[in-house]
Amino acid sequence: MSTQARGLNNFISDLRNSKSKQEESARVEVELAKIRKKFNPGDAKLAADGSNPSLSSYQRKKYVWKLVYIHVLGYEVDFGHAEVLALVRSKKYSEKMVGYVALSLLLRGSDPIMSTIIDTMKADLTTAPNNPKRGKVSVKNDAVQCLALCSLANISGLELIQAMHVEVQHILVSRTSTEQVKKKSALCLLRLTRTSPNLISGREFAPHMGQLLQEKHLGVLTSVMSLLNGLALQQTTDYEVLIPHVVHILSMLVMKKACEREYLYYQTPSPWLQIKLIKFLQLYPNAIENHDIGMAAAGNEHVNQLINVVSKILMETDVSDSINKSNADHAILFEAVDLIVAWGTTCPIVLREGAMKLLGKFISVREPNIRYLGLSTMAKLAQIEGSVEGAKNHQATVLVSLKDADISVRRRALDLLFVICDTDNAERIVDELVAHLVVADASIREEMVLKIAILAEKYATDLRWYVDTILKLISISGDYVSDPIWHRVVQIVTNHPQGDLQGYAAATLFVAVAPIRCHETTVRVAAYILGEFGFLIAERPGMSGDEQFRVLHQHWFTVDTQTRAILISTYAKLANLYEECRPLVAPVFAKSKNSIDVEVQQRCVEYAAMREAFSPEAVEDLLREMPPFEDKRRSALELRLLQTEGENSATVAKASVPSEVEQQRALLAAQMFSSGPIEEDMANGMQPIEEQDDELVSKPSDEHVGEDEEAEAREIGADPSGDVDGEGEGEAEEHNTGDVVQDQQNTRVLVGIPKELIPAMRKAFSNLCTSPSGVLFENSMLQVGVKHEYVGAQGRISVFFGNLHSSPLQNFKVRVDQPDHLRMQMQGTQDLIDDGEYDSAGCTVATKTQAKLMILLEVTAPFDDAPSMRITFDTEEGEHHDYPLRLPLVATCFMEPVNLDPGAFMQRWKSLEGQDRECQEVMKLPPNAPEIDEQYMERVAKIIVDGLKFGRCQGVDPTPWTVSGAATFRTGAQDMNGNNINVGCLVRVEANPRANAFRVTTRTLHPLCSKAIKNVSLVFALTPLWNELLPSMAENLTKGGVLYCPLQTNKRIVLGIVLATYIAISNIASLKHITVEGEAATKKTLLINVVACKRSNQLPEQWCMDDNDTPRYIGDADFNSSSIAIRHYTHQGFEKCLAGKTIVFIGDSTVRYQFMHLVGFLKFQRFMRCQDYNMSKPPDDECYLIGFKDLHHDWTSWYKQSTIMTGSDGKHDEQQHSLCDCFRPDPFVARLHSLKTYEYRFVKRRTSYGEINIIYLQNFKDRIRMNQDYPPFSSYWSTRRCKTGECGDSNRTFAFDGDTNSTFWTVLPRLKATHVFTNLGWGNFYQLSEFSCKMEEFNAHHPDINTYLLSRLPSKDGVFAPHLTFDKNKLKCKVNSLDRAVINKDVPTSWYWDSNHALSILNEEYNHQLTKAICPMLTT
Amino acid sequence: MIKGIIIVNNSGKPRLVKFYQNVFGEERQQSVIRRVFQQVSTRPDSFCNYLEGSVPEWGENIKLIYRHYATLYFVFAVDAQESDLGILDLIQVFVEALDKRFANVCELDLIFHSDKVHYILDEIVMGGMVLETNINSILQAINDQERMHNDSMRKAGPSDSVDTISTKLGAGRNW
Repeated sequence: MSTQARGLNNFISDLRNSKSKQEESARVEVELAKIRKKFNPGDAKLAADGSNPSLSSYQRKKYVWKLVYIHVLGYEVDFGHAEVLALVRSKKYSEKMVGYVALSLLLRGSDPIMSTIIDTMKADLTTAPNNPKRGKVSVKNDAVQCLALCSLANISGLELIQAMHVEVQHILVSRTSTEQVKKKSALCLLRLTRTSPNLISGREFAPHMGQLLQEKHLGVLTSVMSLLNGLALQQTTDYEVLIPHVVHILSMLVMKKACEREYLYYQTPSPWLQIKLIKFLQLYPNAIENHDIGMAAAGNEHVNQLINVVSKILMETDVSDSINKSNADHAILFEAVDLIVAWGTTCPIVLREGAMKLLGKFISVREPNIRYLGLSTMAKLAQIEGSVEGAKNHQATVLVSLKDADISVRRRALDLLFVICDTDNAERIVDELVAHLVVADASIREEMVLKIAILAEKYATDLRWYVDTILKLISISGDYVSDPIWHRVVQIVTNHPQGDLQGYAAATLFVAVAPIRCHETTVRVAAYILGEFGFLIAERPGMSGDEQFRVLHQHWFTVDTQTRAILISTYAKLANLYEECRPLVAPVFAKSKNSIDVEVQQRCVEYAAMREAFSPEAVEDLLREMPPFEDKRRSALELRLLQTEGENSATVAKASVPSEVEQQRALLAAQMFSSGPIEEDMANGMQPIEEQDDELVSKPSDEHVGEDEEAEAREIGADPSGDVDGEGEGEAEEHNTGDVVQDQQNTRVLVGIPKELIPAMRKAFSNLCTSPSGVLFENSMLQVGVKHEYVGAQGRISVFFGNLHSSPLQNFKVRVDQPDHLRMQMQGTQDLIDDGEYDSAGCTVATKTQAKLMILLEVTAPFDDAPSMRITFDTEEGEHHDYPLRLPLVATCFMEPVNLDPGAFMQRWKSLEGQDRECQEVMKLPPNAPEIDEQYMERVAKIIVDGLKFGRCQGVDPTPWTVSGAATFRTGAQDMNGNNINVGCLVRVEANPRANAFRVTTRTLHPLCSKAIKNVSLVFALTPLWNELLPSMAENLTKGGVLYCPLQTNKRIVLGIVLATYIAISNIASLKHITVEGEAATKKTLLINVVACKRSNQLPEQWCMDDNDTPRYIGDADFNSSSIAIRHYTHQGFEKCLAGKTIVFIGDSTVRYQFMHLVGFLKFQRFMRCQDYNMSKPPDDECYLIGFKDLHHDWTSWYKQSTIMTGSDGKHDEQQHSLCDCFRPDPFVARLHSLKTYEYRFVKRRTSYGEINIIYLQNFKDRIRMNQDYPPFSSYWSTRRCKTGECGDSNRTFAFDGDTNSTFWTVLPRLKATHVFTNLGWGNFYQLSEFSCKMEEFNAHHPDINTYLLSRLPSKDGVFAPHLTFDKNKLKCKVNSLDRAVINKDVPTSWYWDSNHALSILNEEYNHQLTKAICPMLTT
Repeated sequence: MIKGIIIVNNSGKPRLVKFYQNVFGEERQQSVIRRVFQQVSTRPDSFCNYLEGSVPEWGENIKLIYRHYATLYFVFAVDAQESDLGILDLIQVFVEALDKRFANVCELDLIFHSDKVHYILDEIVMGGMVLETNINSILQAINDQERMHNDSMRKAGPSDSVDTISTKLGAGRNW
């Protein structure tokens, strides 16, 4: 029976048949017009209420339901209200029912038309009190009351509430109301009080509530408790008297399980009621104060009772097999833990510890919901004083959850880590978080950055660590470091003059901002800090005032106006302090005076005018460093956290409590100075400025070229540090900031690297980049030799320091910078190494002897910077030498050539097509360059192979004018699964001899593509001087980006640019499996079958009829002639192609059928036929197309037969063996909520070419569970398992349980899969598309496993079709795919077994496609 | 409280939409549905059933609690007052009630009997609050309603009951 009208059903069917959104909305428009006309025909007279009296009851209901349906679809419905109200007013229940539902969906409380319905609703609410004796009628009144209550609750307009709340209250407390009415009136009242708080006076109403709590009916109690919770939330104290009542009910449920049968939910007594009871108790955190057992005063026994109840819940909640049962139990349990949290320290310690222990168990389970809630509740529990220690024990487990695939779980883990962080573990946790940040996805980065920043600040025992951490944050994830975070760094550095924090920060930032490529935020912080505290480091070698200016100013043209504004203030300060900066700064000011950006312009003009307008003292005063910042109670970071997480968040509570370290710091700071209101000023100075300075931004390149060579030299290899002598000394005197050591050393002569040496040094560095040993540096005193070798990601560098001087070199120290991307171990002559830990004196190197340093290292990430090495020593003559050098450790050191065959190369190359994966540069040779000839091209090839360590891929280059190569950059960094991360590069150079030009293209594929491009770059230059230039190119490898190559003319010309990085070329290793079937034309006939095929009108497009009258798919072949030849692998071709491979199918039944047909084809050498299905009707021998109607067996029986069929029958086929791990509940029923079958099939087939393994893993709902007695968790030949076809649910232990992605990572490598075809079971295209990116990542780490996404079939019934369409171009990430949908285009319905499964003919064609994907056919 | 309930199928078509708070106007409601769908549909079934607030129309600190059954997502948007697992159970109760009422419920039931689905929901959740969780009493209330509905129809004249739709599709009888 349907309550719905036929017209409505027709309308719905029409809408569902719409092919497009337009068609649907056109249909809706037509319907709306029709209904409008029916409601107001124009000629008929409307009733007083605006409804059309001539409509029948049936019509009115039908049209109103249509309106409701249209509304749900999302179309605006702005009429028909009169008819809705007419239905509500009707005396008939059926009309009222529709009317009220429509009312609550279509109208809102504030609608003026509502006032006209008040009387009707009121009348319905107060229909004659029920009298049990009146039987049927009273039921009806009841029902009408219910309708009105329900509608009132759903609408809850203010006017309605005022008009009716008294009635609702009355109904609730009335003794005559039925249970149904009571339930609804309680909730209705709750809704009313929520909309209009304080509608009810708590003191007056509490006794009524007490009365209601006596109610025996659990349904009513549940509603009443909802109401009570709502009321108590508003007027907590008024309802405190009800605690004993609530405890009593709870105790009845928990202790006595006093519950009607039907309120048992999976054996748990009404969990919802229990939850509500406990929630109520959570409102009274002081309820158990002074609870000492036995001391409870008479009348307070409920306190003991309550504690007993909570202990019982805590101790006796079992883990249940039923997910629903354990859900319900855990729901109560979590509520109880929340109650313990609410009680806080007044709660007995044993309960708190018990709760913590339980939660510890929960956060390590696999079930994601429990883990999620466990993490979230533990964060709350850890807030209680004294509980954090318990939580800290679980730190390791929490860190694992931080890497969970599920963002919800990750968030909770992050929160919990945040809460349990304190001074003891801060460094560990923060470092873990920072490490995780590198791989964390964008959705959580901002949150992480904020939290890391707060933790680092809160728990830094050494503020230098805090500064370092924030700098790391900026470099890893600069875009997510908001202004408040770096403002905070500035504040903290400014406010802590004690120790060497300010000097340290200045020096660190100087180093951080020195590379041309650094994040803009780094530039801002550096600008501010150097402006304030740069003077503290100005005496250090290479960090003088003008050096500070230069490192900052190199960023001028790439930063936005906001940063420029900061830079200008910094420049003004620098110019004020250092004479030599003034000529540097003046032109900047002069130029920016006309900036269209107001802020920039104003600052320039003001600073320029300042000196004329004020006295020198006043200027000094203005440019003096800023006073300390006012310490606000809540930092901007905490406010931001509050904004995103809300008041109740555990993390916010945590953040607002100052840590001990912070308090100490605050105390110290307070002693140092009194604070001033400066924060505002700073914020004002740093307002974002939207207008861009077009003039300046538009010509950065000119300026870049214009920089002098010295700047370049500093950027590259050796730091000249020419400024150390003379000038540095002068400065030391000028600024009276030096400490004692400085004064003592004033007499000493500082010696850096003289400028003349720089070209030679650069050359030495370059040579070393490409040769295994050589001299890195040499002058009259010291020779530094280097020997280095590399295997994969690891390297060994020996550095020798020889004393060429006539006297010993004293205090000889070497400090090697240890960047994040290199893991280093150093050994050396005693006291040689300066690890920065303490002030080591260094060693002495006697004349004509050597000190030695050996470095073992492993590269962990792409990088673009050679590590620096600083050598310092003193001579007897009293000179202090300081040589900043760089180790010749560049990206190419770790390159390994990769040899790809042409097919493989092209496949990779094509798969990487697309904008962001490609980098291209066209370069024209200078006019005087020699012509490009073949010899020239050979040299180009040589550069690629010898210079850049690429593997040349000659087969790809059809003409001498192209050169292609591939290489891998090995790192020792590991991904989540412990596999090394490798970075690969593809490059292609194409020459156009006529135009004398080259085009250089590289392709890259990597989620962190932009970062990788930034980090690693390969530079490739084409010039007749290549022999000479190769070393300097290698040198430039360390810089990345555009290569400036000095030619004889001393002009810089952009010669070429190549960038290519991507993490892990997928499939490099497996590509060797792919052999193009072209080796011998004679064998071709053996492997490939050419079938003549005729076009037939009876067949769909792209199909033809072969000689056996079997339809064959031919794809996009040209149909010009009536007959065409199609090419397929023969049976042997299949075997040869698949031999030695392990092919894994993962997916739903459509995938299983494809698997079955592949296995069947290999075994029977033919299509599966009708008789294979064991049909009762004797089938014709060549029957390929079996229709559902011909099949008299159900699926389950065929399912069993197919299992047997694939296996060995012991007589005829010794080549094939199969295992089947499967069970299905018998009789097999697919019910919505009992999907629980797991099925795996393993087939081994021996062929003359080798063994073929074909495996099917069932995946209906993105979940796969593997039995421990089956491969890959047990040997294929093990006997410890049930027989094929006899699988049952008992006696199995799952060795693996996870979604498709984790199956990829965990199971596939163990299965030694070579090819994987997967769909996500019943997943839709969105999920496939999302999954493609996970696949891409997997491919990157498992290049030996080829993965393909299988599309779903376009099912033949309309309901599911839209989400089954497949468009590989719309996948989020580019992966291989096999589109099975395209073959099915327009095929007749009779080619389907049923609505979802294709017949053997289609499966066969899928397998041809699949085989061709694995072994491409040579077309000539 | 429960701020809203959305049932949407695997391709994003809403099958039942009920807003208990804050969201007015078809356009805004549809944008909520789209947003909700985008978020839940990208999560594999192996993930947990909670998704934290990213539907601005409902305000901050809203949690989406959802379950995925075959072709349908049942999504409840709730505030911090609700028990996380309790709502999961509630969804289960709702689905079980539908399943009992329609004998193996499938998406088509929700399409062609949207009225009944609304009635059933109204017996479980009212104004954003849990009304009843006992399946028997939910079905009892529905049966009573239907009886009365039919009574009043009989009085009204010729019956306008129509054929039931027998076609049933689901993730498949056959798989």
